[in-house]
Amino acid sequence: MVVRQKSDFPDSGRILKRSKPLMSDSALQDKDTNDAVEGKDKFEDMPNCVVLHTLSFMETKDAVRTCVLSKRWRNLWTGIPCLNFNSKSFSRLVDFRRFVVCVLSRRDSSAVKVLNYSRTGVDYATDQNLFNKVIDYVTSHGVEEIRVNLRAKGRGSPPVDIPLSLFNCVSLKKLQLKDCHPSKATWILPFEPPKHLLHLKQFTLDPTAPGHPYSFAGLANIFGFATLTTLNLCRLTLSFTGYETLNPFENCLNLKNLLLREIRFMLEPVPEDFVISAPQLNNLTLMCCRFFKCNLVIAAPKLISFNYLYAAPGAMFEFNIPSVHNFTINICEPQNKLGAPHQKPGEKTKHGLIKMFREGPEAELSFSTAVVSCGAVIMPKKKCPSCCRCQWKALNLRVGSTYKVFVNKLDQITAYFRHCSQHGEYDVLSI
Amino acid sequence: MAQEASSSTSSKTISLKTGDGEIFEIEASAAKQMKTVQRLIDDLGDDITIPLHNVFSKELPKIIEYYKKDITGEITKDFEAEFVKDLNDDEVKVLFLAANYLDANKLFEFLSQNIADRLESKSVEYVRKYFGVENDFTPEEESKLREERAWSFRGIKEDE
Repeated sequence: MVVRQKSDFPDSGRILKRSKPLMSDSALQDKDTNDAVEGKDKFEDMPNCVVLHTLSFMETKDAVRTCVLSKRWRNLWTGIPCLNFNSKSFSRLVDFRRFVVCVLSRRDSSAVKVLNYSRTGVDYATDQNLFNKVIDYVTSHGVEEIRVNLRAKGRGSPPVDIPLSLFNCVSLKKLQLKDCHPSKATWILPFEPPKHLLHLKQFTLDPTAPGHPYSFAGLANIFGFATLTTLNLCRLTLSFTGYETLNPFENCLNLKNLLLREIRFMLEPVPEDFVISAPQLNNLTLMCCRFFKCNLVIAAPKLISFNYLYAAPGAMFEFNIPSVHNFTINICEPQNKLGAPHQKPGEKTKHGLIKMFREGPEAELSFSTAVVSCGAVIMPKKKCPSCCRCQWKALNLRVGSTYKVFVNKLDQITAYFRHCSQHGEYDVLSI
Repeated sequence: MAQEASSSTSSKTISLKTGDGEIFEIEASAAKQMKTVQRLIDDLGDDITIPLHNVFSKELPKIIEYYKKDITGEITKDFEAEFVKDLNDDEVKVLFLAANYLDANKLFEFLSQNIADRLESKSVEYVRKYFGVENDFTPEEESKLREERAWSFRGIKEDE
């Protein structure tokens, strides 16, 4: 069972610095006269920090039992800087609870860098009291990463209260909430932002079963999106109060990586444009989101890559990015691994009016789709300054998908891009 | 993402000599990932054959294979699964100790996880044998300890 998970934008931090290997450098250099070299290193000779490092990859239930290995190991487990609790390894939830409480009370005072807490409930509720105990403990022991999974067997993701201790945890950098609904986050933006010291770098919210809509402003406010470099929001409904142009991420000043997956947007009233723009955004991935009738405008000035997996045909994009270099756009249909294709073979998928404004980027456009409609329909919007000067470097049209459909108007498309391209050398690659 | 900037060392190979006297060649960029080797290169120069007393000809090729993939950025979950698939527990342990000795971080982390996976739900005796731990408890001490720590053994699903 893998207890360490890699996030979508990998940044697997190290738990513990290892000590140097057993051999000292001077011993190595002195290769002829060295008597200390004798066969191989033994595991048992490993210093404690290496042993603790290995133990931190184990579930805590296994790590704790090393206490009976020998006298050296009796209390070694109390210093493991990682807590991996998984209720599935216990016959009954009450045993799980007892175990967790025992561990917390017998651990030494050293820091806990990572908490993985996974509790599968039997009903649509979680043990809030136990959750609070665990969070209170780790936040008072310098935790840096918390991953929570509270799957309920019956109806999916239970609601859970996030204890105040988490919001006051200065050390916490990564928070992942799966299969649960942080209940306070559904509230409308309160007048007074909560006073907390939380400065997250990475935040993931992924309740598997969608519940009540989340107020985006509430989420941003409670978890502090301004400090984030990575944000992953999956399988939930985000509600926004009506603006004519909606630009929810513009205050995420440090955001580099954004993943929105299977998000339904409740936009009341429906704005003309839904703008995704964050000043430092490098990577944007949209998977199977429903923007309904909005135009999606991508206006992040430092964007390097844009991946779009679409659910419903007919999405429209506008890219409003002044002079970006080496920009990759990848638009594709969901493959089989995401579930059955949403259309019968033979149907045409209409997708993607792509508009580029101002000085377009040196970009690589990659379509893995059936039909790309563009051409005469493209008109610059009246709000935008004049001409479209794109510098397309390459255009990859990946024709056909898992179920053979046709590309229509391919020469219109290529003519359009050729027309737009200011580049001397310009490639159209049919893959 | 750990691509080295291209320099005159990027195509250079380094000679490594194992504890049992065999010589292997690796790319300089792969050697950079093994901090012990790099330290030796810095001290002894990169023209000399680097001696690795505690790594042997059985495991070094596997380590080199791993880092060959790493410098081209091709390490995927599938590759890692394949890499350990046919290794028995002892072979993984030897690789782990070698990775620690070589200060080869990426491999070390990966093998730590693999060892933890292999020891999951195993009996105390199995783990003791695996780590090479000598049981220095008397039988009375051990049974007393197990009683004290009964909470850590109770209610857990076993598959030993």
